[in-house]
Amino acid sequence: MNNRMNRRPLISAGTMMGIGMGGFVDGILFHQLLQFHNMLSAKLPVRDVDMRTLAINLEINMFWDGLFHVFTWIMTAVGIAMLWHAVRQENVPRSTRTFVGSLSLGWGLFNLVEGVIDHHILHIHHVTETSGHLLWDLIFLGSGVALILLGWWLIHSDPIKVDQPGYHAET
Amino acid sequence: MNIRYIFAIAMAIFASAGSAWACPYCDSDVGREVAAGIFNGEFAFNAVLTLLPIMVLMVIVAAIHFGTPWHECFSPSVRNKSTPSDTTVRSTTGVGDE
Repeated sequence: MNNRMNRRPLISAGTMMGIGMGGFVDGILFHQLLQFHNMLSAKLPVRDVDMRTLAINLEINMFWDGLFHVFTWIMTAVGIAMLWHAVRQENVPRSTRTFVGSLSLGWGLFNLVEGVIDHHILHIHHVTETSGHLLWDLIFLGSGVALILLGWWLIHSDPIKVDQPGYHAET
Repeated sequence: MNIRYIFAIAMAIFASAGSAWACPYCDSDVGREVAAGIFNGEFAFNAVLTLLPIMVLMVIVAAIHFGTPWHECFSPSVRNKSTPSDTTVRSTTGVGDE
């Protein structure tokens, strides 16, 4: 019998969920609660414009924010499905450390990839739509790197033991 | 509850949603400008801009899930201590725990 454990399905599921949840943190916290920026707030500004333009740009940005949230929701849902599939496999250890590390990895990847593409390459929005946005953009990238490193460390330092209770499939 | 009843209720809710269209701006000059600002020639381009990071992230997750031929998986192999001689790594699926 091949009892070799395989954490890859757990890691990919956790990473997918981390990406989705990281997207929700950005969308809910920065776009809606703090209103630092919107999806296209660099192209369609919501600062220092007249009231009519503000109303129009806010509504347009809300549409694209909503579309972004649709796909973060889909990613989270797919991640949940992947997790369910993973835990049903006998050779996938149900490791909290690996799962939490994967969530951190996913969240960090979201911050890093979305930050590089949207803030630095495409310039469709920045963390704050002010003259000092570069510092905040770099801090955002740094948070992504930190979360990736944390996740990587948690995953790599997981002392999985084959003979420990809980790592065997329930009969 | 029978799944058909649930489906019928859901369809009834969606069918009645049209009458609950509560957009406060749609039937106004501002609303029409908003719609024109969304559904215009840049719609596809803006959609690509919005979804580009997500597509890149999906590629990364796929690489984690299916493995890459040149990189060791994040998680090292964990072997059954009762079969210490089993040291081969499958080459067809790339490196990983399997």
